[in-house]
Amino acid sequence: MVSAAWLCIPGLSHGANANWRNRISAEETAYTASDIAAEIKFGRAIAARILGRYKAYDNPALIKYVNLVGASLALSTNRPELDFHLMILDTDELNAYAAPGGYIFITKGALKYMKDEAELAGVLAHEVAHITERHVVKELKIKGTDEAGAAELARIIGGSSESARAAFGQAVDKGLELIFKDGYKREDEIQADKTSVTISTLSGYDPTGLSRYLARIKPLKEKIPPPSDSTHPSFDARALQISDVINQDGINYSTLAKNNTRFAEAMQSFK
Amino acid sequence: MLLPAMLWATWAHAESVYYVQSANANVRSDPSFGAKVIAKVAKGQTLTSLSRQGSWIKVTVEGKEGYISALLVSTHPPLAKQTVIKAEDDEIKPTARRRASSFTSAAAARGLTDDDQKHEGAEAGPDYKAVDKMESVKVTPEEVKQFKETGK
Repeated sequence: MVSAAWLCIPGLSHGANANWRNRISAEETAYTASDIAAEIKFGRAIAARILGRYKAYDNPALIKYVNLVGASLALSTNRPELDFHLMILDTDELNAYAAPGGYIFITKGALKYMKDEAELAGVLAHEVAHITERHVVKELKIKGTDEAGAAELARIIGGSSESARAAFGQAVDKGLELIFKDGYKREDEIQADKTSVTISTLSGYDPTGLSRYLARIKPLKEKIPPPSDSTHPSFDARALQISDVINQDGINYSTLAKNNTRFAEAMQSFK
Repeated sequence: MLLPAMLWATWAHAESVYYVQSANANVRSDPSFGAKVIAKVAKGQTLTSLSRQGSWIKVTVEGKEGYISALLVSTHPPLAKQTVIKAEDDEIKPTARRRASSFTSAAAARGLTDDDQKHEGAEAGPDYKAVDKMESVKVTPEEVKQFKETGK
């Protein structure tokens, strides 16, 4: 221990691009290209099940608009290897869902309750954060094996045997349960809200959009009892977290965009 | 005994190298969105970090000390875009069930009407054609740039 401390003198370092894997901080795991491929394939399978369950809304102009908002948010993340794909689900439920690898869904019902583009951006940014922070991928690692989760997932997905396919199917089922039963860890939901504030701000959007939308749908959502094992923070707790980040990070949200006009124009195509 | 411990503590906070992941990013004089932008950095650029403060990372760039959002950097170089692998889609089957899955039950608990469901009763299978259609909606970097510039 003593000799190691003597050897690691600050200021002496290797070339910046060499051996970056060896310098991964305790906060980050090294994800490889094959880990990303596994994440996308897994998320794609979850997306296929969501689209097996819900019809996609047939409105190309509105779908394109939602994808443009999503893509502009994605520019303010550290996952440039992902393409984000967004789809509107043809249901009056008020919900949004994210599958690993970049697949995001928002319902017609949710869109109908929004007033401006910053609210849409805030909701989408929350889902983007679930993906960029790898909440589902990490959670399944925890429930899975002792090995590093991403490598294990890659092994499952790369396998062509019957057992590998069955294991993959079970992982997809577990991912769906997590997404649909409010099964994210409480701290992951809080992190997604806080990260939504930062992604929205970095993208030029007023980050109070998410809290305004949540306040509006709160009376509707509170009518439907959550799943008994739901870990979702309350609406009030979420609003407080969002406001804390805005204050702590010195965000002057009144100067940031709501884009009411463009949002209203896009919503005109709503049937 | 104290000196090695001090050196160990210094090593534990030793400089890390961060790589910018976003197309461009601002480095600010303080860890606040209200602080002055002191440098602009581009994707792939390396920054030497000194410490972390909440969701900000203190870095040195162009000989100056400043703060960058932790959301825009990683300790590895940017990875290339991944091509979606479509082969073997049909081979991935949902786990066979004899009873309603918790997914189906959860959907019912959320008050879905029959109209909302594509497949009543039995567990819905995957719809990869719909995923293909979802992935076919493309937005180009130029479209996104224009979208960002013309918001009102």
